Amino acid sequence: MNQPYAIELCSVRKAFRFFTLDDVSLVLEPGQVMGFVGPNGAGKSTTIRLMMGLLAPDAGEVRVLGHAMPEYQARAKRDIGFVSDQMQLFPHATIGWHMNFVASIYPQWDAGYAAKLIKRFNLRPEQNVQTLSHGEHVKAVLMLALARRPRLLILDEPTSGFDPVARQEVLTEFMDVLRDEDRSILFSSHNTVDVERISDRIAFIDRGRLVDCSDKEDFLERWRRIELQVPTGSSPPDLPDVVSRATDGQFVTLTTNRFSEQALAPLGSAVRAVQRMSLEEIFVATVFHHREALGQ
Amino acid sequence: MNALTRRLISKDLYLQRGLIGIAIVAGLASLVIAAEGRMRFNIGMLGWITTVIAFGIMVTMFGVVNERKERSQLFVLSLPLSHGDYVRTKMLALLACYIPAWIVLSGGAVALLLVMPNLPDGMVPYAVLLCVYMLASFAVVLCGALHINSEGGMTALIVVTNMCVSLFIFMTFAVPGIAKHFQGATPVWNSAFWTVLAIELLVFALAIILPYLVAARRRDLH
Amino acid sequence: MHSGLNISQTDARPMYLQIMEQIRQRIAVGDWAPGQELPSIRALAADLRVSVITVKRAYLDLESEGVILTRHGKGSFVAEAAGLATDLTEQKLGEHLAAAADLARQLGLDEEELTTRLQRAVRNQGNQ
Repeated sequence: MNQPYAIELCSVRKAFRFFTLDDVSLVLEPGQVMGFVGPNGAGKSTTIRLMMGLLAPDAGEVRVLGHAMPEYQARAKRDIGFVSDQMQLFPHATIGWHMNFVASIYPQWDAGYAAKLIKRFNLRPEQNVQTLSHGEHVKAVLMLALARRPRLLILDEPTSGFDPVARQEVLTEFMDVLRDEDRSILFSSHNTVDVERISDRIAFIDRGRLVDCSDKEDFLERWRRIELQVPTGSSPPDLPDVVSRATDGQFVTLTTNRFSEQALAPLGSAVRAVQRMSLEEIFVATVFHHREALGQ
Repeated sequence: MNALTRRLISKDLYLQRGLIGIAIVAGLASLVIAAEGRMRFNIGMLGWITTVIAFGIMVTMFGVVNERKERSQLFVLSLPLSHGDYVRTKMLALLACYIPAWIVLSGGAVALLLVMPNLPDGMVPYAVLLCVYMLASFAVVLCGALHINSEGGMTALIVVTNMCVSLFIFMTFAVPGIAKHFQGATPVWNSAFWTVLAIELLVFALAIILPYLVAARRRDLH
Repeated sequence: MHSGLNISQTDARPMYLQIMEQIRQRIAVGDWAPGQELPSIRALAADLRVSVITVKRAYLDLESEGVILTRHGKGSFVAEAAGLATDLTEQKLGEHLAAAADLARQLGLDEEELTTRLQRAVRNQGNQ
């Protein structure tokens, strides 16, 4: 693969008065979708702003589409579509005016595709930006980004506050981006259902640190909830990599993040059930485990 | 100047077109009222001064502060430009919004004095100083908006510049070289005039240059 | 081209397994004929709105089962012997069931007890 990473962060550190992002390293390969998950205040937006060159790291390197950030952000942003739920368009203009504006700046603007998107998103060019609901506003920003067919889409909470219909409309368009193997997506979201569905890789962030970063299928395969029935009095045999354990009389529930069939063997018939975990459950267990390890 | 810069400047001109129009109309209307002389002159000049000051503040408020508050700044920053580009382009754009109207209103004020026989031409140097003062004051507020992020800070700056207009009007009036010739029939361009003008232009130049040196070099934006 | 496959997120089984089952079904009934080209991994991922990695995994596992064939650079195709692969799995199931019936007889379990054990095993499979 001779193409550079879509996004590359090396030991990035950024300190604020009450919060520090520390030692964050991750890569996004071209053609991949990365889901970025973390509680509020974990540092997702800060990390994304570092990727967009809006913040300069105190230490470490940020490279996007091969360009060092923030020095070459003007060049990088030619091929990046950035959508944030905190972004707003100019309040005294119409959607159509914005389309002309963006089209005049980016040569890759596809007017036909933009027209299709407007219809699919239920918007009209004559609409004044001020009259749009939050969901419509974000869809408009998304349309302006997608119609340029950027090589990299960076999305900060793109579907927050969306009704289910709008979410489906928008998800379909994201996935369309993937038909091209040179285009990549990074998106941060609280919606673990969407993240679980469409991500190739997932990064968990909590309290300014990258807690885990793996292929999605890897996460789903590694984590299990194991229910045991152990007669009272005797303690269950220990399983390595147990992240949490809950006891209710004879029933013990173990959560492990390094599941394997071989590890189950010594438990024998004590095992009542082995359950997969949803990404949301994995996420919550990971964060609690991380905080325990930090001594909180 | 590249295409993106031109688009952003015309964007600001487009979004501020209403404000610019209103300022020109209100300012010219004030001059028409002032033309009658005596009491009407005072009212008209007050209207003119208020219009030019308010116009300058609102251009900056809409152009910078509101853009930041309403998070359209994040949209602009997602465009292919650096922070330095943003600051420089914003300077040019807001100067482009302000200066044409300022020329019309300043020219109108000076023309009014020269044309109307009931208004002494001796006031012309003072009027010129007042007009250039407005320009310098606008530049200072704009410079402040590009460096100050807090709403409290900006409010303080605006209050202070407003107070300074009144101070300027009275202080300049008190300068002997100026007040003496106020009621004269011909304009007198003496050293008092040139000194005050030079100071105003210096302040203007500093206010324009500072953002290029400081704000444009900032590496953290949000 | 819309593939017509259906992925449910409320289904407890992992998505890649759902994809594999739906493809196997279409091959088994003959809707997807031997030698027919499968949608590209990216096209199917976009259609189903799932991640590329999930479709890749499904295709890889189907290939290791012999149900499909991937020719590098050309795409994936229904294997000529795909029907055969399904038949083999059918055969295996038959053999296992026969063995289970035999073991149950040896243990003295009646039909109802064996059925209960089988149901439990199915439920555990569903949870994995």
